[in-house]
Amino acid sequence: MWIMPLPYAPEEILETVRMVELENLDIRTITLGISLRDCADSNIKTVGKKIYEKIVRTAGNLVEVGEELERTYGIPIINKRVAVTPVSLVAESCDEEDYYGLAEVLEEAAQEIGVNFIGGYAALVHKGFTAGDLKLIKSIPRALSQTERVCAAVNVGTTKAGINMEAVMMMGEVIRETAELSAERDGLGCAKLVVFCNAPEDNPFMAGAFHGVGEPECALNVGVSGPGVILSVVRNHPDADLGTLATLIKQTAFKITRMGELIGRAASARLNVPFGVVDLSLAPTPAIGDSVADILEAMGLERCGAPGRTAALAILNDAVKKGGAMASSYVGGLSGAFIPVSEDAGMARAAAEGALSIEKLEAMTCICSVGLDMIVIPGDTPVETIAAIIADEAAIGMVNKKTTGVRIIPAPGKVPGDYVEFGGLLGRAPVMAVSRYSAARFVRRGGRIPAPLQALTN
Amino acid sequence: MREVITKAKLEKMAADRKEIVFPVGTILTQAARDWAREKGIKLGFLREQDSAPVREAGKEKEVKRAIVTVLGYDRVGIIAAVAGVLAGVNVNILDISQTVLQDFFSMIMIVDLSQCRVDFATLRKMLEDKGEEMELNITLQHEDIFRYMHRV
Repeated sequence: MWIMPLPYAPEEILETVRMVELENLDIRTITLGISLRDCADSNIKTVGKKIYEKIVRTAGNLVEVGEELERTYGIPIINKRVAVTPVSLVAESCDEEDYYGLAEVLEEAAQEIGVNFIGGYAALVHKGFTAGDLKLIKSIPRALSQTERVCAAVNVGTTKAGINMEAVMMMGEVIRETAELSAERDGLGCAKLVVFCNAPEDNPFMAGAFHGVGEPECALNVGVSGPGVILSVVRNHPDADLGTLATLIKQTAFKITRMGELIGRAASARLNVPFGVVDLSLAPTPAIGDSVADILEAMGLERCGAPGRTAALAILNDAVKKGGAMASSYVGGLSGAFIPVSEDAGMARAAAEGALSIEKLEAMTCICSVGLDMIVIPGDTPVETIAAIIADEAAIGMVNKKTTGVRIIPAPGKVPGDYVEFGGLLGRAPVMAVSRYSAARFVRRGGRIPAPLQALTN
Repeated sequence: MREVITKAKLEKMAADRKEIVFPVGTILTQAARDWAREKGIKLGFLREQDSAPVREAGKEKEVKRAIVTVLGYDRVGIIAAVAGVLAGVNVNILDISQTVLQDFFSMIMIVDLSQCRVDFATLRKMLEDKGEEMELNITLQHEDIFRYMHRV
């Protein structure tokens, strides 16, 4: 009998088993991007019909294929989702004033194919608005408060174009209105809305996913995860110096990303759509141990938010990227560590204990993806203050040539110290204090912040 | 192009039928599947040229080699039990590596599934059930995972 030598070391095999069984290694999302550019029509009913049919036709078996892959490879795929062309681009072909009907169409399509979120109720307005952009933005509060699964994104700035401050101000108002319309659920609608600077066109993560204009007919993008796996590596090496620690994180990120590449390629083959990118993000969940804050604490901070947090995060973020970049042929999307508050139990605890403030989080967003994410603020925060927070975050993105986003929830009737519960992967978080000083006169000036010198690269 | 059956279409097709057969490759949306399950309607898939309906799981891509790991406290009969499950469905064991550290038992098997009589998901479930019965952690994983993770 021919005996085959064991092609893997037992430690390697056990390491993989441990990652999946004990450390929450999973594929966070497979997201199918679908172009809706061929769905334009002068009648909104026809647009809606075309959109529905295209989504159901293209993504009809997305959930089935995802579940099949989970069974075949034994790796959980937490979310199967769909991202579409920014709806403003498709809807502006019709002469309707209110685009809300299309949000309902997206909701119905998502329900039919069984995905929990569908992204792309979006507009790109970094340099200014078209008539369609304005109509779409106006309909966001209703769309987010009356549908369950539709996610919205608005890009208000880029490094090349600067920041559209009219749009920033408008988004301050949209966020407040969305929160008030979903007041009975503590402003949950805002958890489905991201205001971006330098929004990526192939991001698989909600709420900010959309299928960019440079993308093909459809493409499958994969978001990997694995804070738990990195956490255990860091915990197992309490005395390693930072260079060694970075190397260990890098090696682990490589392995995690390989898994994403494998699943992404298998999914795209089975769905018969091109493979897009692997997004190398550390995406935490409220599950214990699946936290980026816990990693920073394991690196040696007493609490996430203590001085040293930005340096620690910089090491982590960079090592994840370096390890991941070699593991996948196409890397894209957001690709960096996420630091949401409600979705990360460690962050939420640090915020509740006063170790972490919005200003500290803002500093951390300078060196990682993505921005001020899932932060709950008092419901009576003035729209100008919300707009100014967006402007600050967009400026960081614009100057540093990186993506930044703001997903902030002014929970109606809540004050600092209260707790807000969103449930599921959105988690729970304390209401964080916002500076009481006003920026109203600054943000009300309007206009467009000119593109920085960094934009002149040609 | 493959046909997509939505819940609305299925409702129309179903009428009073208890079983509906589609050509292989037909896509049923999640809502349509949920509805069929709720109504107790059986869904079958028929290959175009042959007459025998195939099981839905049969379309899964064949997995050739897989890795079984067994972790737990050492006791008599672990290998026999796991090998029994595998032999029962015609799975060949290509290699075994086993260590006992203090009382802790770990075993890794490379198995050949090309002649396996059940599909991958079923075999995994059988092994997991056996594991539960014997208070062991038994996993079955596709070889590709290890190849991707540990080989550049």
